[in-house]
Amino acid sequence: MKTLLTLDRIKDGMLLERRRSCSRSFTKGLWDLLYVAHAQLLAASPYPCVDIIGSEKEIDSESQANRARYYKSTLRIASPSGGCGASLVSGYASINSGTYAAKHQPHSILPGECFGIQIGGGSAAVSPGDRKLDRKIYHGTRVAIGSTQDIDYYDTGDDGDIEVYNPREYGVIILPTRGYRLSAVQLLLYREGSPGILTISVRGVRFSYSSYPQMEDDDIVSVTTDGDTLPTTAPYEWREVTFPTPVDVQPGIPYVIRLIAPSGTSTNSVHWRRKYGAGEYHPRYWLIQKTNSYYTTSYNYQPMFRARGTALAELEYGGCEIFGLNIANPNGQFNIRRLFRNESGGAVTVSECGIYSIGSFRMVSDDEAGGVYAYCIARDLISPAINVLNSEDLAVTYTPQITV
Amino acid sequence: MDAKVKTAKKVEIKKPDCELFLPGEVGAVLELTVKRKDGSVREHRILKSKSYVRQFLELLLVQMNMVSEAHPMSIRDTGNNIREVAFSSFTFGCNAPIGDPVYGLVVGTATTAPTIDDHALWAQIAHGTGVGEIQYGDVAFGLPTATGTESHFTVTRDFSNASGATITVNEIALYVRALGSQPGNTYNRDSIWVFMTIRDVIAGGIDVLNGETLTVNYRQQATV
Repeated sequence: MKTLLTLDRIKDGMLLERRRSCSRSFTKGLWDLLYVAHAQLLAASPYPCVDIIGSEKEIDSESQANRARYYKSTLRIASPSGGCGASLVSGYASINSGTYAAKHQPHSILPGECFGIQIGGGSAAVSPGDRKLDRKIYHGTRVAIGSTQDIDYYDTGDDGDIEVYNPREYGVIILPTRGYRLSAVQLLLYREGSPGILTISVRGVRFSYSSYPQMEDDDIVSVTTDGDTLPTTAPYEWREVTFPTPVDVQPGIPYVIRLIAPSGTSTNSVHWRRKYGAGEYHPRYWLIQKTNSYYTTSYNYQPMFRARGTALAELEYGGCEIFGLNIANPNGQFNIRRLFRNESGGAVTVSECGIYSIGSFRMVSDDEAGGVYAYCIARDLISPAINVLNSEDLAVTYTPQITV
Repeated sequence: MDAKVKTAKKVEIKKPDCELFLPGEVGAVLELTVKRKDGSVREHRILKSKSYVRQFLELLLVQMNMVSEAHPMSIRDTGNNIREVAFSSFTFGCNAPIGDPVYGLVVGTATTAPTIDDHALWAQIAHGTGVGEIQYGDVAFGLPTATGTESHFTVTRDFSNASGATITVNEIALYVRALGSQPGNTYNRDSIWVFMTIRDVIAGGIDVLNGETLTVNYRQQATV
């Protein structure tokens, strides 16, 4: 099978530029998803693979029941427009005795931009192990953020603190509304005694149907800082750490900024300033706590944090459509196409494209729980890069072709 | 004496002597190994599979497009029946157990050249130890792997000949399952159908002598 890649730059319906080449780059992610489908893996023995945020997620082929439709969104590429929430069913639920319906599982709704054809501004060489675009251009119409600034933050009104020491770890869950390159975080901290070296990391989040959200087990990135150099009293310190490699934050997918004090104790601890919301919840930031293996989350407490980074100018993602199945011996093909519109006010340079697809899971411990993640299955460099001017469209079409 | 069909095996594929795929190409490497009763290798071939057939493309589209039961896709199954197929957790499933020749990797004796419209082997070899029959092992899988230039995963199956005579395998296929659509009905296992996604004809055939085992590896791979 070969895949033709067509790039059309369009203005007011007029074709300005067309490029055609063979796509070079289906990646291991394609085989991960096809393997899971071929092998029909059960939820009790899922397959771990790294998703587009760099977090290892376990997926399987098992559907929730033996009565209703065996829903599973594995391999899905077709998507609604970039900002549209796509509900990706991964099972069913009983709604009364003997009646079943497709169910929106926790973690089953992704923005349309999270799957289907993607575009980016990166230039890293393509590798079969690529798990995401080098630097994705996200959905929207916003201009670039060229110099590092606070993008996700909650930094005023602190009226208390949470105490972090081993084995009590805390984090703030963030649900970003724009994609950006997270390079540093600031946390408002002070110390009690000598808490020692602190670790600040970024992790993915996993959800269950009937319990609190949990942090993934592995860090996407982490950095340490000396907790013994923090102040002991007000006005505290906005301790900034810069990650050794930045994290490309995907809107619509939750992350945790996690703080631990591995050598801390109840009398040698770090205190993270927070605000008590008293029911005034922030819709996209909330506290998560883990003590030993037990998790809790709270909308009432709002840790003081600043997530800092830069962002590329955005392009609007249209829906990703699949059409044109045509088979005539000895050839067969279909098309995967997505339209991108530039309303950012300036030119946007596109130097890579690719395809993200869906993998899904079912939780063994809860037969009605499951969800979906996004995986990169193809990535191509566009050389020379295409400059998409304001109010122009870029159409990207992948055409898989087989010949017997 | 019956040949033994292994129930557990290690999936291994050797690297071909030369690169079989061009950059950007997605396909399958077919590796055939015939082993004597004592486990020694009598014949070993590595060749490029040529023949994804239409059902592969159709099932890929069903999953990628999340084709619903309201607008199912008409796909011809291995029984030459048109089935209405919608997306499901079953699509591409080929984890057949030992002794099940209905799906998974399957073998046949016909030499008819492949076409994209092939929906089944032309002459499948039945499971068993009778005349002209071969014993089907279970289907196993090699985990997806990436190197510097390619990524792949492997489907494998053993076929053991205890028929008392030589069997010549001329055609090999991958049969996978998918869920048929029955609008208005509850879905159940009765509506799972089997479809052929790959068919290859082996030039000159490959002989499996009585007491020998043929191991078929399909390594599906992509090269950047």
